[in-house]
Amino acid sequence: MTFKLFERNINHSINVVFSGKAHRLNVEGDESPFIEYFFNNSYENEKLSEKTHAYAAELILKKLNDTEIEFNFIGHRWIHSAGEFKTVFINDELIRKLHKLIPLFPIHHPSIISVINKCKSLLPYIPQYITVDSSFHSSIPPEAYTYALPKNLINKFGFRKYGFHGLSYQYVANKASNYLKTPIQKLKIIACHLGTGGSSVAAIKNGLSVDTSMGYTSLTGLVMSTRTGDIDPMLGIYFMYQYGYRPDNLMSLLNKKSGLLGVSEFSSDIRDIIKKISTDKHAQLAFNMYIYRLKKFIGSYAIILGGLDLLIFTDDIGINNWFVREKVCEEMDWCGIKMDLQKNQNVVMNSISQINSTNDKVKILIVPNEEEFEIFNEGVKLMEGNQK
Amino acid sequence: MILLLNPYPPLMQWIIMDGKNLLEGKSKLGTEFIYNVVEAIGNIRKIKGIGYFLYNGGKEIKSSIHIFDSNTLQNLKKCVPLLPEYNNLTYESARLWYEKMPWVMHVLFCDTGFFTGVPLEASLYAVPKELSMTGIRRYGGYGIYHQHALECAEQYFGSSIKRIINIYIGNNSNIAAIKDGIPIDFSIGFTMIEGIFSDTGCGDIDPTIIFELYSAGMSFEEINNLLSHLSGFTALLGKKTTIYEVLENKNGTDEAEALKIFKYNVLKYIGSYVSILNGVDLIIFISNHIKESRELINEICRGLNFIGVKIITDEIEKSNINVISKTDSKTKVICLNINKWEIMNNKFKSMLNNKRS
Repeated sequence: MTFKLFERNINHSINVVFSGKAHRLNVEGDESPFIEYFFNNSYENEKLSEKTHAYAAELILKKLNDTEIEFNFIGHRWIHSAGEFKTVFINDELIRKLHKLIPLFPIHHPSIISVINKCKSLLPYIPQYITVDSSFHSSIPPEAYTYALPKNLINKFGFRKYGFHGLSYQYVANKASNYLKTPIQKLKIIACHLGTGGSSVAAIKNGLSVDTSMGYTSLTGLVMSTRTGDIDPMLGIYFMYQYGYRPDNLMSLLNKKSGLLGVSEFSSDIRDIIKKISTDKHAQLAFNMYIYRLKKFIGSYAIILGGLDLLIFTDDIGINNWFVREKVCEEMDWCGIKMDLQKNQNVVMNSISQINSTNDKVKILIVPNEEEFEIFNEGVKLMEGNQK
Repeated sequence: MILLLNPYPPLMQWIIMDGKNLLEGKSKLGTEFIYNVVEAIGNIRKIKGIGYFLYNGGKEIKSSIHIFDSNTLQNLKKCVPLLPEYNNLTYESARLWYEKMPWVMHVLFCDTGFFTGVPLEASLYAVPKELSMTGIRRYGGYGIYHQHALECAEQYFGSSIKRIINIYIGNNSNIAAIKDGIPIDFSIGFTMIEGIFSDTGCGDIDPTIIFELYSAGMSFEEINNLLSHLSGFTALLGKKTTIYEVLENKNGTDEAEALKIFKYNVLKYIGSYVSILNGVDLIIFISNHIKESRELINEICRGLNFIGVKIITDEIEKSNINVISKTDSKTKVICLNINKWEIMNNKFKSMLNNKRS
């Protein structure tokens, strides 16, 4: 869980006065959870005795209180609302609606609600709002979002591809276009959002999302920390019918015990897996599957975009893991991807880095994402709308 | 005379190839089955060989073509749970005929055998050991066609072609990637449902949908029926249909929309395979109805402009293999007309000849 406190000055300039990240919440692995704080040009960290999001939120609010930093609003990222709303204030009625939307994103939605409730109980007078992450993908065309299922079911249940990580894609695509001094309308972009939890890929054309690897839920697409990514849908029926699995048990296995964790059999964290890659065959297989699936998606999107101008890596693994980036870009010259291996290993942290070989047609950028900034932006729009 | 048997639940389809003549029928398992065949050909002694089509050979049957030995029936039995409806018919009819006519050659044509050796990163699902140890993995399908296409390409171009993508267009369209003569990935997974949607199968969907339908009160049987028999082109058009009917009426609004989605999915699969092959030297379109599929093939190739595919759109069909790429196309493209029975029969004949010589 990341957090950032933005201050907007009278001249509309914006600065971050307090920020940080709670690591390894609800993660299985060797190390214990901890929070990092950045404020007043200083750095602090503290270990957590519980690994829940609500507990981390409580500590963060306590730290803000201790440091006497005041604030007016709390904004949350909500993952997926099936197109119901984009950015709205939180009240009891909305919380009831949010509860109904838990099945659309069973991993994050309960955590977000727990954090909202924690903030509400500790700071009942601070207004809170949510902004919905999947909105960026509303431009995906029918041929990409349609499942070949009967129309009455599609209409009744809303089965279609929605996509996720929208705030991240929106932010990095615009940042990259500014960096390259090229209008976003002129760029065919593939962006890889590789996170410590969920990961996805998006194809972006004319500044709009045209396809993405996650689907109706965040289960599909890439091999992720604990999620399977694409699998034969019939496996769901097979295990319930042949082996008597209960639906919620099976869902939980596919969402929380699969992916890197399922294949490696010891960790959901790709850093742990890379450490053991030469000595443990399960680690090697998990890593290979992760890279292989990603390369396939890049290929699909290069074809449907009709070419590629820009490949973006973002989010934790995308930004910090040179080895993953190197392996993804290996033997990809068919679509013009050629990485400068030296540049890729020696990037400056927390800034945009260009890592393609000089003069190559396809630019490769590492763009640190700042979803919090998009949440802030959406929040400002909401407040301004509210004042009118 | 060769007897070919194909599961056609709940019946077994049988085809007798005798030169150019073809006798066909469907029978229930049991002595009635043998009686039906004898009635069709007169004397059972005319049969020189029996071929059985097996849809999923799992980990047991590791090649496309497998001549029976003393373990075959036992191994075949182990495959039944993978695809009970179909595999049990193959197993039971093999038991019946093998016992009845042990003196002739019995051959399994296993549709997953060609894909047995694909790398693990392509054949496994990223699921926990608890689930993977049950034997679920991507077994693929239509291996007989894909292997046949590879053999045709090698005959035509020699073995210099390193990177091939096969695209089967038909009632259950699917795609395979071949590198240095060995398959490395394919679009069909554990079941035929995974991959490109078919006439009635849903193709790749978010598996969460199954759980939602189940909690909404549908039974396993209903969900299975929905995803296998009421989805795909049939769902998109809102009536029972096939890809050929859709192609025939391609200017209709629903048909055009369905074909657009279909083409899009095919292109995504092609892209993913071009990516893992790091380029492609040859694309083979395989179909039982190449002529009817030709315009769709042209459309798909148009979507591949960016990787240097250039085709002659009005190339007239001359034979079973037709090169449709232009001479300056970076990737060669061929169309291959096929017939399942002919492929099986030809294989069988060459095996019988080898045995004699």
